[in-house]
Amino acid sequence: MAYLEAILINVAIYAIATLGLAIFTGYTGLFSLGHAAFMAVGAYAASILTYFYKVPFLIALLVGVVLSVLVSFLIGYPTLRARLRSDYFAIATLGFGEAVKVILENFDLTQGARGLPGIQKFSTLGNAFLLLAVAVILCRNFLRTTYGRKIIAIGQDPVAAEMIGIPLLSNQLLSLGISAGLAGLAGGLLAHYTTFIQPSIFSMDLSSLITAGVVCGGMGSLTGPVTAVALFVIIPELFRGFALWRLVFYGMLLVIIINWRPRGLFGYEELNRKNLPKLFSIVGITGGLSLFMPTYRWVIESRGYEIFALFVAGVTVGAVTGLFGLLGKGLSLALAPVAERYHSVRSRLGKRLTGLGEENEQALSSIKEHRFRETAPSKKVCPSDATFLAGKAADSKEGLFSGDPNAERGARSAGQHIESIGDAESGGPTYYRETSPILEVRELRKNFGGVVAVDGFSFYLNKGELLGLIGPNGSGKTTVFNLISSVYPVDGGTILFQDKDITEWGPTEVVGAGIARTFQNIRLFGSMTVLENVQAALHREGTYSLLEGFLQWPRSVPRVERRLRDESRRLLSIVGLEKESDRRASTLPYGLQRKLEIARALALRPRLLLLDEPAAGMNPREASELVELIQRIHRDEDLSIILIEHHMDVVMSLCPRILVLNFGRLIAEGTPEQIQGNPLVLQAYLGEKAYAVVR
Amino acid sequence: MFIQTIITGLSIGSVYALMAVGYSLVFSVLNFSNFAHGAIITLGAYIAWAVMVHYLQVPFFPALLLSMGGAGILAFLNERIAYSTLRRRRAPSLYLMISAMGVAISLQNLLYATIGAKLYALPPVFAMDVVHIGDLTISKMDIFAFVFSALTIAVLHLILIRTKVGVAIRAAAHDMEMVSVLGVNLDVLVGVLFFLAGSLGGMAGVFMGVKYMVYPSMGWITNKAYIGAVIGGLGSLPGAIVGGLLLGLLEALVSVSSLGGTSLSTYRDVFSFGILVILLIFKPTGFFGRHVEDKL
Amino acid sequence: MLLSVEGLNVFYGEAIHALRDVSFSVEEGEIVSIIGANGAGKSTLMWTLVGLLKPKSGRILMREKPVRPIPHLSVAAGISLVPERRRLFPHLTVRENLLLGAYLRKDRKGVEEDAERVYQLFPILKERLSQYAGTLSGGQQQMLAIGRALMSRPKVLLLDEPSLGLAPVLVDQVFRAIQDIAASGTTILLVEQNALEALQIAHRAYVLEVGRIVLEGKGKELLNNPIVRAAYLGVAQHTEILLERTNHGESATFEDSPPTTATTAPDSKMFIME
Repeated sequence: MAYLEAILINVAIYAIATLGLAIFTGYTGLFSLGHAAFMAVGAYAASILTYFYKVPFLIALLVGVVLSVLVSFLIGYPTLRARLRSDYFAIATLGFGEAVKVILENFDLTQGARGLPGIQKFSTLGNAFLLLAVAVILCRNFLRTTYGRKIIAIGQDPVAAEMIGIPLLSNQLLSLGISAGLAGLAGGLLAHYTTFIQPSIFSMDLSSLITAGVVCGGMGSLTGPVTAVALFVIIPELFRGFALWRLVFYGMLLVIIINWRPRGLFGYEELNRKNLPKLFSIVGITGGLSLFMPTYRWVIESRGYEIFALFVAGVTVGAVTGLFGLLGKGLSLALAPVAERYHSVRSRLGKRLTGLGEENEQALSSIKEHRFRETAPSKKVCPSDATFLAGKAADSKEGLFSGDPNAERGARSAGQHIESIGDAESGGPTYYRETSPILEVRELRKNFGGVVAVDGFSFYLNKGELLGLIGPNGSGKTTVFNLISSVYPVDGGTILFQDKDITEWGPTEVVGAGIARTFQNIRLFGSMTVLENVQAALHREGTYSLLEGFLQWPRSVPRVERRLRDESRRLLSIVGLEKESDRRASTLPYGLQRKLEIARALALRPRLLLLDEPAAGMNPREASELVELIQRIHRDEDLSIILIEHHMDVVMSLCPRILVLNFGRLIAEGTPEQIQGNPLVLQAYLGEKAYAVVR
Repeated sequence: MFIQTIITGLSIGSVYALMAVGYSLVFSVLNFSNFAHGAIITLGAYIAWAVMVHYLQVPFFPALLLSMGGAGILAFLNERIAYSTLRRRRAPSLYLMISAMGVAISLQNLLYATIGAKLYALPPVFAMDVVHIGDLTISKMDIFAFVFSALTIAVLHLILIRTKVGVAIRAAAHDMEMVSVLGVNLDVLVGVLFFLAGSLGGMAGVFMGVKYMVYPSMGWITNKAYIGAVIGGLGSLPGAIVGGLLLGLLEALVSVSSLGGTSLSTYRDVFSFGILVILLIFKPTGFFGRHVEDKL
Repeated sequence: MLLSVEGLNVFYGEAIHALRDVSFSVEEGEIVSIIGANGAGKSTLMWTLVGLLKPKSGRILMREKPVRPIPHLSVAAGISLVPERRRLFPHLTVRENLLLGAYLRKDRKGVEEDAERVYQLFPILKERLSQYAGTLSGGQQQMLAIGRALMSRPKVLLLDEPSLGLAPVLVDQVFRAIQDIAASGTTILLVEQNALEALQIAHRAYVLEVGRIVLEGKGKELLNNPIVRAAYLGVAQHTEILLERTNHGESATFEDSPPTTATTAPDSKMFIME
């Protein structure tokens, strides 16, 4: 019994440590190879307190956790600030792990390499599993908050995360801190279970066990790594004769998993009813295999026939495996009604817990109604009339490559029709609501290794204007966007936004000031759902504290989360994606991914929206829908917009004023008509010879 | 005394450089830290031990060649088994690194499980161990290791500059996809690359074995050569050489110095890792590393 | 038929269907252009033709023999790509860049001869042989990229946006060189955003739209097609007027002589394939 207890306690301790690494590596995508060092910090801190100072166990554990967190900031701050590539960061943590070990070996208080013997045995099956349960629940809660979503977003695409205003450093540090805290907790528990610690315990071997747990359990999952590491602790016990081969096996497993099943056990999902059979089969196979040798030996001893023994052992393995497989299937089926019941109870309970639920609903629906009334007139006119025309024109245009020259003009006039409706409604041209510049760019300059990408480009954008920015491929348009949104540092010139000089501001500050953008090569958070993509961008409106988030505090978190969800749905409905909200973003077709990017940008409450080729890869029908969408958000959300686009009809029908860029310089500016007639523009687009010919 | 320390440092540093070049070659093309290289180095040393001591009494130079060839083939197999799938799938470099770690863990523990943790010595190469130049007493093996490492690196340099495959390797370091579009079979090219890196590692392993001992963890991930490669700038050959030499020198100097009466030699490893961490903070790409910018 | 493509379907990830049932063919000695907007799938098509992207279905045939979608096999089959944005090796010399283009060839003499031909075509490259490719100007880099692709003695040369980021004068130079190469017997498949230039020099052309080929015809026919003009000749209406003027005899270049012969200098009989 003591033997079983030992295994189980080890399972709990390593599961806590692995959970820690899972919440860092599994979600941020940064690899730490020094997590054993955080365990060491926790273990030594707690042991020294209970051993020398007789501090109560739980307090000592807590101090160990806090110390681990602080140490993790110490190593994390400089390395994460330097924006090391993921493998350099891994190397830095590796170096840190070794350094901690060497320091422990040469430090008097820790009694050097001899270690600390005689620590009291405080860890029990009860408190270890209790702490594991608490840790799992806290981590799960954390991931379901804005704080958690920020970290997941960073792991998916750091650049896109920054472009929706999520600061990388603080969030990565938060994740590392939680992670180190859990490792410290596991270390403290370990020390008070084994009653003896020395620096060599906290070696790379330990780090690799935890790493193997996260990789094999699956990145982006909590229960996966916990399950995997539990198996890692239990399985070698079943094959005791092969103790030395344990690490050989882990190493091979790492190679096999990462090569042929990079999602691991439950990559990007948690243990649930549907993957229960999978888990049971794995347990069944290992359990069955572990019975092979004992059965074989037992038969040999009692009967003595080798072939018979082999047969019986084989049947036993098969039977156990099959039994577990069936058990898993059965359990999964049996749980189906329970799961349903759970969900319905939970949703009811959730409503009651928030208390104000009903009132909120009412308030919300009244807001919605208000909004609807506001936008009602345009909605009434557009679909019946103009969009219909545009749609029809687009239809005929699609079939038109067989040759109907009037259709293009039809589409064009439909576009104008929409515009004129917009005009009539607001009592003037939609695009000149106000005339003070919201953005002013002076003498902007950027070189890439001697190649001039932007060469003294100056322009202004009026408040509420929809400005077109065109030019041949490679003319520097996207670079201008990248400079405004601070993806690259500016080499020269100034950028004024709402009369503030934002030239030197960082990306998240620029977003905070009210500039949002989309990307030419779509950058969504692929393994998040459509809804979560938008929710992630609403991070600044998650107005509860981190502590409340951890506890999923019923008085604040559910209310705020519901508001964020509703708001995300509203934003999705603006771009017409509300029906897709539960789909994984990466499974959306191209056109819808672009629309989702727009919804995500709108969630940042921008004053200025930078759209980088939103119609690229769209067919004429989709493009004309997009024109309608851009007009709608321009009007309804009170936005200023700069549009980079190659579809000329899109630009011409949307933008009253167009800038033409070539070789990083402004070569023309004016209304669509002026641009179309400008010889310099023709030359830039058609080439000199061709231009000479047509001239 | 000081000059002697420098010479010892340069000698061990040149062997580090030899190993570091292997890390950097692979990094320059495939963009990941091949942690398994250390295990290949170790296996190279064990091959020498097997043919020189354990099974046969092969003389030094044939044994060196066998080690180089064997380690080269092992490195080649390592790539085929653990990396080629990921490479063809264009997986993130992190995946390759994890796979490399898996190989490193497996191979090192395979040695523990089969041959055991015992330390084995390789027979000395020279009967008379030292030469005297003035006051200096220099180990012949030190000179030999230095000269031979330098020669080998020079040969590697020539291969990279003069041969078609070498030029393709340098080109692949910049743009592997484009190299394949020009007709280079990437499987073959990467195979050659790993064979080269592996055989350099095998040679370094033999030198290490002669100078110190042969044991399973001699090439573990945290070995000095790897740190040297990082300090010099992963992916850069001059960087690997400078980084390796620097660490060798540092190690030799720290071993003989003391601070306030306590010898610093126990803190030798802290020094190397300290330099590593400091450098990663202030100049993450190392002395000669290229800057990798995220492209939008 | 030199190159023919049958029912090519290419996907990115799970959801993005980048090429849909693309079929077309290129005859020996032709210049064929494929035009289309950004994101239409032009570059995807090029990458698929050289084996960098694996099609989900469909075949690529060279002289009726299927080519497996593996880059070095495509080159061996006679397909050579000048990629978008050139993708030279900036830390290698001009000469090393050129020689890499001949990686698969064993005949040293032939390689030297072809190098000489490239120098004839682009004399500036000969002056810069030992310079690093990264130090060349944009136009020179494009010339080097074309030269590098020619070094494999391709049967068909694929060009992806050769005019990208070049000043108009240089664009003309590059297009003239392309015509020279075609005149000397190398078949050309050209993908361009600059539709006017591309259609002018093309014998035949295809229009690619959102991954589909929606239109095909003789280069000049397409040049006069109102839809093509509206959608791809940039600034539509004005161009339309200008083009009409051109076609009514103000310039002889379009009407009278096919562009390939018109601009081929007598002494530039190069790359004649045995």
